[in-house]
Amino acid sequence: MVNDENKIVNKILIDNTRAIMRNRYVLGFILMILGVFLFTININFSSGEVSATVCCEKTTSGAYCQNVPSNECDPSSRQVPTSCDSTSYCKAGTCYDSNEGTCLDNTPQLVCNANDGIWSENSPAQCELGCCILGDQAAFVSLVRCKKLSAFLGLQANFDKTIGNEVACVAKVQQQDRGACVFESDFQKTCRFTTRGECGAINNNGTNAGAFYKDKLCSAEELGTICGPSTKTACAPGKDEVYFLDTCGNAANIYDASKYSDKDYWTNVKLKGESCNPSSANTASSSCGNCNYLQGSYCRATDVSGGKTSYGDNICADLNCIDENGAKRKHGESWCISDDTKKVEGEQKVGSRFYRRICMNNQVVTEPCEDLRAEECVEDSIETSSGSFSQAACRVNRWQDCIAQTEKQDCENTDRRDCFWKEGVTLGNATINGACLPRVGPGLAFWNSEESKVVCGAGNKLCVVKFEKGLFGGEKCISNCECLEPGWEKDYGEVCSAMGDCGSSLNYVGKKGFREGLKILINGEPKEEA
Amino acid sequence: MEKRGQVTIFIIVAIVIVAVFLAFLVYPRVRVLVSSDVNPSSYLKACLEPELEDTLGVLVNHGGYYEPTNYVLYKGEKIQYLCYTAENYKPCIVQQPLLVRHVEQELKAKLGPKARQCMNDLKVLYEQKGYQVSGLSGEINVSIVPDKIFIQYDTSLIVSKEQTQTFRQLEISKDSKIYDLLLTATSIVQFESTLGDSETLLYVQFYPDLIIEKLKKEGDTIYTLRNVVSEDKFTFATRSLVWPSGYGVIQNG
Repeated sequence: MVNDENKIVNKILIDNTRAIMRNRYVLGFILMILGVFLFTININFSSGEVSATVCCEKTTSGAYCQNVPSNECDPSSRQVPTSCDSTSYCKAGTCYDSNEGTCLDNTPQLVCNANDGIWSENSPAQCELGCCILGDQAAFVSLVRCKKLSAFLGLQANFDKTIGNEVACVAKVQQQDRGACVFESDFQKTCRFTTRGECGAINNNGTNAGAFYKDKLCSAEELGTICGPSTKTACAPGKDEVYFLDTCGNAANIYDASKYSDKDYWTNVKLKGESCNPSSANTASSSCGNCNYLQGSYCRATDVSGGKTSYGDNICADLNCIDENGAKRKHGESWCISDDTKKVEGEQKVGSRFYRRICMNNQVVTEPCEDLRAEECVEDSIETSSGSFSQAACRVNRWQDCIAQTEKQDCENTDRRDCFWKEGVTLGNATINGACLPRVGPGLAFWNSEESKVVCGAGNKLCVVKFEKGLFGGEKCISNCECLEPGWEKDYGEVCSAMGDCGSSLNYVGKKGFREGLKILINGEPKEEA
Repeated sequence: MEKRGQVTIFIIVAIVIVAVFLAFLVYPRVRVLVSSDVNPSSYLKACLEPELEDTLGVLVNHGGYYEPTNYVLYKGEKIQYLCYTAENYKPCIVQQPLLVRHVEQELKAKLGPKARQCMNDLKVLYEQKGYQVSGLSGEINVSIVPDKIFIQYDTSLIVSKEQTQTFRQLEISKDSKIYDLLLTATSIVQFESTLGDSETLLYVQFYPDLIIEKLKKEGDTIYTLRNVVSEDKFTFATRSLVWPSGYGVIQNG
């Protein structure tokens, strides 16, 4: 009996399994037909209104290797219905310029090849960086680039690929001995102020035998060269300061008018700290050329920057600025400004925008952040020995998922989004007490998009207030009575404004819009103003 | 009678003023023509320099292209995208590697015909002075290097009268900081294509003479690089890591 029952159970199971298998075949068949049907629809769409996205070799606007709808692709160019990363010709890789010795990443193969570059999927060996020593300067570049730079400067290429970073490269060049390199030229004892290594290269020519004198200037009398002191000054490449020049055109010590007649100052190399006013920027000083880039001064010709000096035509030019409020700003300092003068969360005027201002080379440059408040400007400052130094940046406004947050903690998670929690209001039909709103409401392209209706529509609020009629006439509010209080309209008006360019407000130049922006309806009729 | 004499003097003075003015306008040409012995390099320089200035002026304002192909229109100028993406939320794809070489080629394409015309004019000038000229045809080469633009006209120009002179290469140069600006632009393109944006202050730290103006507009970024000392500049555009307005989904038309 038990066996019979087992058989029955097994049969049912087998029948069920068969039924499931049969159903699977049927389902598979239906899916296949559906797939064919959808494919047909897709083809119809492709040939009709909707175009599939393709990897396009060249678009109708002239851009290369773009993932665009097929109707935006130039008919004469290749297109494949896949991502450009999956194609051979538009795959991004490294483009090597064999002439300049530079490498550029993220370049499509066909774009690189069309410009006579050498393309490879991964960074080639030619792009490996090393330390290139260029006299008393250094550059962390590729070998070919090093040769190119050396040729520009008329130097022998000195490349060290064992140095793996830029800091070590700069440190190496700073450790080099510098001094007077004395040699014979045209039967005269002349001199060049250079490094020991470069001096060796001069000596190696054979015709110009000479000697290196560490920390000595070419104008030193004891060397007996034709070079002597002069009243000329110059800006040295890669250096902040103004330098005296000797009669052979070599840079001597930092320009100091009081030391012009000082024999020792024209004999031995003096460090920056041993020169005039080392702790000051010496901006526009007529007698001291000890400029300091970090403090906002840099060597410039007087005909460019203005000013007068006791000797020569170069001066420590002022790089610092005065901002819109008349405050002093240092070179490289940046700060934020906005069309919204009041910085209130969720209250931005229509058309307002953030800007980053930068002090660069004695000029204040304004960098607008992305329009429609897609970016906001953030600012902070650090304390330095010479006062506070402000740094600002435009960064993306992450407002998009604010209204989807139902927890205050999630809403105020600044790692993920830029929102604030408003107590006492609810969005739509939500039952929680509080709403998560964009801290900086986005601007909306309401003039050419329907999206503003969708975004602003999220701020709509329907409040059903229930009244109970009294036994002897009159009525009493029994549900949602807070909607009748004066603060309710204001609160929800603020919610509406926080959504973006919604609600009733003035634009950033103080003008009212053409539409009301906010409507309050009672039983479908506009509310009568008191 | 006195009045008539006065009028004559006025007319003569007016003619002299106009003549001086015209001479001033065409001074470089006059300088070459009046010299007893024509120098082909000087002549080529005087003839080609205005074209070089004009062409360079167009190229630096249009992202290195004489006729931009994929561009953003800003203040009536077509500014070429050197890095571009048609998609939202994605970094751009490099559109113009080897920028220095591209600008050299653009200059070569524009200056080549003018250089040949200048050489033909030079031939006429020589022939008017009784010289015999041969081997005028040649090839122009443009090279942009730090602080200079070199234009070389490779030819085998032979000028003979009593003596024979052969010129193998005529070279003219112009002071320009465009090389550094083009390399900075390439570096910015590298940043944009990798990270989606660039930090302009980073460059100011290393290049004290540089000012970078950056303008963001509807997903496009327009960069103007300027050397404060030489006043050379270069403008180009990128479109990278675009954040559309609203949710970027529903658009009309």
